[in-house]
Amino acid sequence: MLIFITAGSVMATLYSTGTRTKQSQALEQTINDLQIEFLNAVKWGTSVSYSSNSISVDGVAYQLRDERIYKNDVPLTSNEVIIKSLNVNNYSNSPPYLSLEIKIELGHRRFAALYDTVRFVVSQRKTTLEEHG
Amino acid sequence: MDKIKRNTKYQQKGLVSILFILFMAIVASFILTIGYSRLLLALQRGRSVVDSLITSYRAESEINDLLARLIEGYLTHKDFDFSDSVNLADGTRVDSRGRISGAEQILTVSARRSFAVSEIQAVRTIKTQKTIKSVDVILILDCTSSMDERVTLPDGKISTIMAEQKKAALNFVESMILHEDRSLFRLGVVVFGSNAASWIYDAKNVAVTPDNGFSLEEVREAIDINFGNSREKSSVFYRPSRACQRVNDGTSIGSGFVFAQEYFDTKREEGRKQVEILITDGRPNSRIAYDKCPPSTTCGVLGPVSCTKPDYPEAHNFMRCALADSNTRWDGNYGVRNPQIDAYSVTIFETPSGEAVDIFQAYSKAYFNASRAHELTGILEKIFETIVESLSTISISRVIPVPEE
Repeated sequence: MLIFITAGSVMATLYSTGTRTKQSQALEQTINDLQIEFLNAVKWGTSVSYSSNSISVDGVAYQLRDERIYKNDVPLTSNEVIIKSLNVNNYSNSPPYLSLEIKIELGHRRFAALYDTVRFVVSQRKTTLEEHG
Repeated sequence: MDKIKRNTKYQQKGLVSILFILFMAIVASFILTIGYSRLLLALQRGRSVVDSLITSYRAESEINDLLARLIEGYLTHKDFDFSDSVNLADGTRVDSRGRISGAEQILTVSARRSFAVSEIQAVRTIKTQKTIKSVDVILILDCTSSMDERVTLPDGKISTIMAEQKKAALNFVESMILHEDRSLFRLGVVVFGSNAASWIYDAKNVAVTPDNGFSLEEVREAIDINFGNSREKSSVFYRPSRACQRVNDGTSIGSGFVFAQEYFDTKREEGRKQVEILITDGRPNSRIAYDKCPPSTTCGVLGPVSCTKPDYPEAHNFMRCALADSNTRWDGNYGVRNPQIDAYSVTIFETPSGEAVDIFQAYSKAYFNASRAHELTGILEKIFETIVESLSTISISRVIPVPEE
């Protein structure tokens, strides 16, 4: 009987840990995806503008809508992850090139205990150079 | 018999226990396998982010290296087409390719790692003068009385800084006239003093601006006839030329720059290169009120209010503000010059030093000093060559990599 209880509880623990890991990985994946997406878009964008909760790069709009981040009308984040907030600030002191600090609060839709806040800075680079001399 | 039954019962129980433990072991292994695979997945996911950053960095480094070699002449037109591949110690494979397409030199660099590929392309367009509509140049000349100072030339002859400035300006126009693409160049001439700046005017009282349809020969004639102070043979006093009579004595270098820039701002269009070249012998000691360059005050050597002696900070700050481009800060403020306008500065100091030189070096596209006035001609020719050579652009972009076959 003791064996049954022990084995059962070990399995239950393994299962719950596995489930929690899976949900946690979903958040990690979302964070990675968003970082890479914003890094590439802003860095290489020729026309970048922003508001406190949206970014526009060469006519493509990134914005928070219905707890998901959309790239124009295509969702970038999965349904099981909710984006609680998207905040954008410009840190650049060399206009017109932007250095955007992007802060995203996100969590799991079904596991309220799983949430995270990610903050990163992406800088626009000069893509057209005039050759001097 | 009972013993046999009891043994059988124990055996059944034991079998059930073994089967149960076996079952549990299988399930546990299954769960552990899933957990382990997720762990591996998490590790690989982390690696994919790292690979993405590394490949991006490697590709950018390589493209910057290639561009530097191209611009400095270590990689020349005849080296195209080329293809190169190198495996770096960190496991990144970098492929570089260069090809020519019409007037474009196209460099493509791919950096590959296990989980990411970055590809960056730089297109260098050789814009010969023929692809430019016009190169508009404004010469900004110093009209202050100190320009009338006497100088001794290497051949022993006596001249004045003003006369040497005039000679240099005329030679500069001559260089344009002799250039094979002379039709591309349009020239205007501005003089500045303390209170303001002004165009010089021809005999018919028409301002010599790049847009007023003057041929280069006509500009040369306008400079020759109307510009330059001249001394009375028997007097130590200078008599301002017709052009210099339009401005008061005193050195407000910022006035010359903002005058040319405000003109260029109204004439900007695609394919039209704008260049301003200022020549002066002195340190700024005057300024005019200009809202974009705070604090907007007027002070000068002849005005009712003098700038603060002995360093004239108001005049120097106005000069900084006028010369710095709008991407560049000076003392917490941004400059007013549009970065598309190329600004060149030339001074005629015997011993170049001081705050004015620091400002010219910091904020001009190029700064030259002629320690002797007669060197001005050579410097203006050098600037002219720089203008002609600088007509090319480089566009860098990230491209979607093509999968390897």
